[in-house]
Amino acid sequence: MHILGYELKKIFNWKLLLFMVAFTGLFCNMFLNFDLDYQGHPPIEDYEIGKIMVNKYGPTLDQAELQDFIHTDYQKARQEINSRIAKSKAFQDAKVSTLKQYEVLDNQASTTDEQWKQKQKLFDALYAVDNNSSKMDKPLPIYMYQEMRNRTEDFKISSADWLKANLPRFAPDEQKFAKQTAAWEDAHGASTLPDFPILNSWSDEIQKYLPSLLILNLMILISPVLIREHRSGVRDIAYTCKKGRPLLRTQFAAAMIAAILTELVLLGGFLLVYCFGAHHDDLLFLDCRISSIHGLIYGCNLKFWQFILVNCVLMFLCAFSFALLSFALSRVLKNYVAILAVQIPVAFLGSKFLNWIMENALTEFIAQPQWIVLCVAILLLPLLFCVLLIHREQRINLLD
Amino acid sequence: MNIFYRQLRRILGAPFFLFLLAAFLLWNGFLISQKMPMQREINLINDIAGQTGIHINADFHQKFQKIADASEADLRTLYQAKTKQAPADDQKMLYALTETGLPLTGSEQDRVRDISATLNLGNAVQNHAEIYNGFDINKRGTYFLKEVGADASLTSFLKPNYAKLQQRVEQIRQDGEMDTLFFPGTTYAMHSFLYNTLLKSILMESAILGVLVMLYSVSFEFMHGTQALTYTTRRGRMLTLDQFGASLFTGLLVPLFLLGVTLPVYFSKFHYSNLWDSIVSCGMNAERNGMEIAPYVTWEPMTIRQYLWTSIAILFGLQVIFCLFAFVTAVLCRNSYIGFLGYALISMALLALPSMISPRSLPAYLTACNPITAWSICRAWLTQVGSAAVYPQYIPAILCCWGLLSVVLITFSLRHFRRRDL
Repeated sequence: MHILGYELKKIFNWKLLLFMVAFTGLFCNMFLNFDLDYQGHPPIEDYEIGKIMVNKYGPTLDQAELQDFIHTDYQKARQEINSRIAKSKAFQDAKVSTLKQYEVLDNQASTTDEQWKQKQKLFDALYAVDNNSSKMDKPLPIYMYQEMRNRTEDFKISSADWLKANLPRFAPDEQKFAKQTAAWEDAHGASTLPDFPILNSWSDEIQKYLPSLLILNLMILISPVLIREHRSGVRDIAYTCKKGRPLLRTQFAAAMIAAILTELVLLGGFLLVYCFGAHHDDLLFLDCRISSIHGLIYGCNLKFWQFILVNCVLMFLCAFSFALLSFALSRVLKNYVAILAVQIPVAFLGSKFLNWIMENALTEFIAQPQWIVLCVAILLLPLLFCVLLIHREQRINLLD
Repeated sequence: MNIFYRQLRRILGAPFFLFLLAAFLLWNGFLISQKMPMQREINLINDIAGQTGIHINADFHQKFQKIADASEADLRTLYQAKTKQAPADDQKMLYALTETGLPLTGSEQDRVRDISATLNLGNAVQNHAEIYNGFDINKRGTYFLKEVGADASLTSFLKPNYAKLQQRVEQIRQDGEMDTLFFPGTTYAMHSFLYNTLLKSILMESAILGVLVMLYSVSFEFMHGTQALTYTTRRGRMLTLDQFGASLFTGLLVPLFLLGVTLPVYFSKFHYSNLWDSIVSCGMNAERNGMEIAPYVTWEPMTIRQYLWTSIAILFGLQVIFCLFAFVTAVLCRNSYIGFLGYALISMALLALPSMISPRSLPAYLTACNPITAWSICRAWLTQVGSAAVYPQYIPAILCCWGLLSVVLITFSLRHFRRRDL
C-alpha cells in the first residue's frame, strides 16, 4: 500500500499538474466555450420558445397543449408585431396596418422595381428595429413570432404525415428509429427540447473537444511514468528488492488510479461549469426526450439527462483506454522524445476516433452493432497490451 | 566537422525521427486523397487552359466557345441516348443524367463529369468579373471597424491598409489581373486546399519534428547520462553548438523532404501545368470566407508560381524560428518532456492571446504578429482575406522581430549554459 502511495506521488508531479491546469484553461478558452452559445437569430428565439413550453407544459407537448400555446403565447407574439407595425411610419406610408396584410403583400410576386423596393423598405422597417447589435443576445419579437409560427406548424403535422413525407430520406437502418420516435410521440406528445442545447453545445463543442481534452491530459500525466524510472536506473535496484518484478503491477494500478482521478476531476469540473455556468438554463430540459420527429432522430429515445450521462460515461471509458495505452508505451519506449513522437499521432488519431464514436454512438452504432463490436475491440487492445506486458515482466531475463 | 556529421547521423538514424516522418507523409497522402474526387475536373480545367490560354479575352472566349459547344453537343447526344427524349435545357439534361438514378456506365459517368465541369467553368468565366464589381475594401473595412467599435489607434492603423488594398483592387481591375483563368474557387477551393490544408499541415509537421529533433539532440547527453564524460572533453560545452547546427540543419531538411515528396505527388495528381502564370488575385480564385465570397487580394501582383515559391520561402523562415526557440528550450530545460510541453503551452497561449484581447484596440492585432498565429492563417500570408486585414509588413515583421528575439534568447541561454553547474 505504501508503494502504491509513493507511485501515485510520483505520477502527480507538481510540474505536470501545473502544466495540466494551464493547458486545460487554455484549451477550454480556445475550444470549449462556456459563454452562452445561443447567439444570433433564430437560435435565441428557438431556445426561448423551448423554455416557455417546458415551463408551461413539461417535457412533452400534446395537441391540447399545443392549442393552448397557439391561443396564448403565439397570439401574444403576433399582437406585439401588430402593434409595432401600427406604429411604424414605413408601414403607415404603405397603408399596411396588420401583420396579415404585410404577409399577403410579402407573398405577392413583385412585378415592378417599385413593388420590390417597397417590399424591401417594409422588410427593413420590420427587422431594422430588431437588428440592433446591442440586442443580439436577447430574443426579439419578430423572430419570436416567426419561430413560434414555424414550431406550431411543425407540431401540427401528425406523425403519420411526417413519416410519409420524411421516411425515404433516412437510411434503411435508421428508418426504424424514425418510426419508433413517431410512435412514441403519438402516444406521449412531442418533445419540447429545442435543437440548440444538443446541436450547439454537445454536437459542435462538447462531444468534439472534451474527449480530446481528457485524452491529452491523461497522456501528459501517464506517459512519463515509467520512462522517468528507466532514465534514473531505479528499476535495476527495484528488481533486487522483495517486491521485485510485481512492482510493475503496483505501478500499473497507480497509473490507473491516477487516470481515474484525473478523469473524474476533469469531467466533474466540466459538469460543474456546465450546470452552474451559462448553460444553467439547459438544465430545464433535462427531462425532455432527445429524439424527436421535429428535431433530431436518435437510435434510443433517452431523456436529455440520460444523454449527458451516456456521453460522460463513453468519454470516460474511451479516454481510460488511452491512459492504458500511454502506460504500455511508457513501458516499451525508453526516452521522452520517443514517447512524444509516438503520442503525437496517437493523440491526434485518438481524438478523431473518439469524436467519431461520440457522434455515432446513439445513431449509426445502434443501427449497425458491428461498429460497437469494432470500437470495443479497439478500445480493449491497450488493456490486452498492458496485461501482456505485466505477464512478460514475470518471465523476462533481466541479466541479458 | 566530424562531430557535426556524427550528430547528424545520430538524428537521422533515430527511430522516432523516421517513424514521425513516415507518419506525416502518410497523413499528407491522406489529405491529398480527400481531394481526389475532384481530380478529373481539375485536370480537365488545366487541359482547357492549355487550349485557350489563361488570359480571359476575346480570343479566349472564341476558343472556349468551341469547347463548350462540343460539350453541349455531347450532352445532347448522351441525354438522347439515355432518355430517348428530345434535348432540353442544359441544366435539366444534367439533372436528368445525374440525379434521377439513370444507369450510367463508367465512361458515361466520366463524360457527364467532363460536361458538367466544362459548363460550370463557362459560368464561372462569365461571372468572374462580378466578384470585383462593387468590391470596396474601404467600405467593408469601415463597416468592420464600426461593428467591432474600433478605438482611434486601431482605426488609424487599419485605415491606411484598407486604402492601400483598395488601390490594389483598382490595379487588379485595370491591369487585367482579374481576367486570368484558374480553378473556380467557389467550387473547388484549390487555393485553400493547397495553402490552408496542405502547406499548413506541412509547416505544423515540420515544426513538431524540428522541435523534437532539437530537444533530442541538445538533451542527448543528459538523457543518456553521458554529460559528465562529454563535458570533460576538449570540445566540452561547445558540443552544444554542433548539436544545434546538426538539429537546425535537420529541421530544415524536414520541410524540404516533406515538401519534396508531398508537392510532387499533389501536382502529379492535380495538374497546374497550364496555370502557373495565372494571377492569384484573379476573379476565378474567389473563395468562401466565412459568410462572404472574397477574392485573394495580394499586396503585390503575383502569379500562382511566384505565390507558391514565396509561401515556401516563408515556410522555411518560420521553421527556422521554430527551431531557434526549440534550441532555447532545450538549453534551458534539461528534461525534454517538460521542455516540449512548455513549448506547446507557450504556442497555445500565443495562438489564444489575440482572441483574449479586445478586438477594438490595436494590441489584438499586434499580438497576432507571432509565428504561431501566422501558421494558423497560412492561406492569407501574402493576401488580404476578410475585413480584419493583416498588414503588408506582417510576415517580414514576424521573421525579423521573432528572429531577433530568438537570437537574443539563444545568446542568453548559451551564456547561462556555459556557466551552469553541471
